[in-house]
Amino acid sequence: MYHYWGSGLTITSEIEFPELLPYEHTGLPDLTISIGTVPNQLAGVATDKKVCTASNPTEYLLKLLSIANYYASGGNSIIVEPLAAADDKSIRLFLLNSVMAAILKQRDMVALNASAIQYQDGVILFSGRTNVGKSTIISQLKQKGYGIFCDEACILQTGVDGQIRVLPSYPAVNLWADTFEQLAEPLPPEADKLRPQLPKYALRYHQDFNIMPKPVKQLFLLNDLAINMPVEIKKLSPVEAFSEAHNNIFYRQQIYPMKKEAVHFLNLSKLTKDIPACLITRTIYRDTFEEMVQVIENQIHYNG
Amino acid sequence: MDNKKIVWLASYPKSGNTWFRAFITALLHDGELDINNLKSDGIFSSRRLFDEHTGLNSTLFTDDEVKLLQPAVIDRLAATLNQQHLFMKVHDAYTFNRDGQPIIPTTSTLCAIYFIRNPLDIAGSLANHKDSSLDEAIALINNPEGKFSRQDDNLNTNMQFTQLMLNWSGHVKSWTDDLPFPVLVLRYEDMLADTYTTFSKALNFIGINATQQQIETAIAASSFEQLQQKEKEQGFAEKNKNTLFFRQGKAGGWKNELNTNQVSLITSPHKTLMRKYGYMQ
Repeated sequence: MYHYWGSGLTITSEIEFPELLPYEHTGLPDLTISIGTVPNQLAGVATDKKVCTASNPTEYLLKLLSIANYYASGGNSIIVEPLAAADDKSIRLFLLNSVMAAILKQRDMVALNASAIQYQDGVILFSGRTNVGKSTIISQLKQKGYGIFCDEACILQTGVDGQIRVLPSYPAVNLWADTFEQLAEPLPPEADKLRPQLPKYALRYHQDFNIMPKPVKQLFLLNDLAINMPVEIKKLSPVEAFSEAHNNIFYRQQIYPMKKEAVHFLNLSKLTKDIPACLITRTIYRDTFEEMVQVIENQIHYNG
Repeated sequence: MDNKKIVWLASYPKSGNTWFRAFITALLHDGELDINNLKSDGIFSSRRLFDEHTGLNSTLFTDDEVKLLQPAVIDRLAATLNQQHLFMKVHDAYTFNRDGQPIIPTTSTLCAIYFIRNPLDIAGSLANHKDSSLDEAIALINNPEGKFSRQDDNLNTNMQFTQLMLNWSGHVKSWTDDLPFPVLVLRYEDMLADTYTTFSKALNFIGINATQQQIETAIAASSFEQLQQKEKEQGFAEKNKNTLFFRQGKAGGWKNELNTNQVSLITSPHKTLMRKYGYMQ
């Protein structure tokens, strides 16, 4: 058995996950990952069936091509049924994405598509849809001396004082091959690819990974448009920030069949109520990351 | 409701597909036309559509895997929308995935309209669309493995999936050979020469009833000049590069754009189908 920490959970797994933080824990784990046979389908009228996936408030089933079948239930169990032709990386990757997202929702935990850097005694969040540039921005900020807190997803947690804090998912920044050219950094070895067939690489930072919950100091929502325009920054009201952040819930489609609208509404409302939030919009027609980082740094210093 | 509701608006790029969608939009909205909200219930290659109907993150998939799931995605889309017709734009050739299944699902398909245009005219329009040279556009038209929205080095980040088009002849053949649903071929040149008759024919084929007044109003609202003006005023989200999408909207422009060698590069490999559709003697 392997023991890990990931996305705020203690995990015991029959499968080795180099992506996660090794973490010895006592007592029952929050989540058990085992190898076994998954149900053929989910029953019940509340089950929402999509292509490859089915879900209801307590169960999630993913039958993924020739890669693996996954069954997540009760917020504390994932059964993985690897298929013959699959490679281990692909099996792990899909588990750490939609399957883990389902587990978090089953536990009433709220995760955002977001990356974050450490700032003062907290973090600054960058949230946006997949591929909008979150990982690239924190990688550029890292080059300027900021510490990376997390990539891919951040988990929101309400503290005893009622304030929102965030937890990281796992210690890796995932970047497409072309980003390394933008960063003027060498392409990592093939072994670091997320999947053998995909030119996307994981830069792991287990040594610097901080699993303590952190308050959010500032929130940047990221967007891109098919219009030739300079990078624009706009201060958002709490309502506007909520609306943008809601679009960026980690695997947002899952919240409706899993009946998790209320808990997401509550936590995102708390997140966006008092924290300075800005929307940054860039064009897709040119590389604007240096420009964006400059705008972001100016705003960070302005907010203090 | 019958699940056979998808009307494929299929074409090699720059062949009148968007114009027809603008017309349909105007027709179904009493002459009102927002070019950034054209009537199609999606484009086949849409990443958003795939993610919505799988609940997964498509950027983690290979193109090969996407093609395995796309037919089921389209079938689910058809099953979940409560309307008589679904208009789906597609630039992919009608091809088969690695399981040997057509990427275009038969189950939910009502019919297809295939828009065809003289490849000599496509060249200039395609070069403008891709912000590339004429020679590069011609190379794509002639490439038997030609792709649209192709990303270098297997990157998988665009809002649209890579679309395998084959070469121009391959594309035409794929959509006009014996398919398991009815296909109406519309020539772009006929759309220009007699818009009313050609668009009326398309409406009859789909099974949409409209009065002469409704059709004429929609044709006026979607005229090339109107589309070009709206693009200048509002921008056009569907364009690929920072160029104007609606460029000339005419037939025969190639005579002023292509040199003799470029003409030969196109006519030589495509003469059989160019003759069949009246583009060569």
